[in-house]
Amino acid sequence: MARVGLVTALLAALLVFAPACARADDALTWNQLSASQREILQPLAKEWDSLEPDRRERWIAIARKYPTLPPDQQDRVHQRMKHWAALSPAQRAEVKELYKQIQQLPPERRREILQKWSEYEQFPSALKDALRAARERK
Amino acid sequence: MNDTELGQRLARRLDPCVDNLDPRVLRRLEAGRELAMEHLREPVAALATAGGTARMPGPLTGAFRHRLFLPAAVLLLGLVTIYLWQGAGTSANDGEELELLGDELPINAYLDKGFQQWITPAMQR
Repeated sequence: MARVGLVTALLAALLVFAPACARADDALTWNQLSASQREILQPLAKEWDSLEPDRRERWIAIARKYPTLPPDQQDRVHQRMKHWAALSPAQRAEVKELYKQIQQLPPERRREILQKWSEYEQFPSALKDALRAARERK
Repeated sequence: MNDTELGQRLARRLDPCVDNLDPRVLRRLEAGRELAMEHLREPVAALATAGGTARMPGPLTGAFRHRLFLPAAVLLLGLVTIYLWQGAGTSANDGEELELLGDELPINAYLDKGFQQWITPAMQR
């Protein structure tokens, strides 16, 4: 009984900790990245080695899929990498949540949201502040 | 001396006395033997002693192993499921982050409370 318990516990530990070990292996330093990974992740070069291992693993996975994107999306991803990496986990969660909500809308409503961003960018600062204040009051 | 040899030596010493035993004692012994036979499939070596029965743990074989197999298999299956689920979740998150970063709407927009307020009617419609 004790032997089976021990074997089961070892298997359980292996399965639970194996993903963590794999993540640790993926936490490569900037110099350990391949040339193509460094090229894609260039905006993160300075802060790369100080990123959390989990975040580095995410970026490596993103770099793997990056070449499959159309050129205009590649440009946008490249431009936003630094900003995204600088966000706190709570901010990233907030962005993802709203992104998910917008993605669930029908295409015409998503276009409307995009149009509203163009309008919003043109608003005077006072109007933007008033909208922000209204949001904060909720 | 192993268990079998010990049992055989004890049997040799006890056999001559069987004829003199009280019939009630014989019935009790017979019932005890039946009970022991029922447990024979269990991988324990039973050692008959004057005071009763002492059980010694044996190797993991037979019914004992089968009884443990199902819970161990269920546990293993559950852990494998969790492992695969974690992997799938991470992969989905990576894909989502990539799409989000490549989206037409910039990150600033998602974080801007004023914009969140501005699109609220369109989101709730």
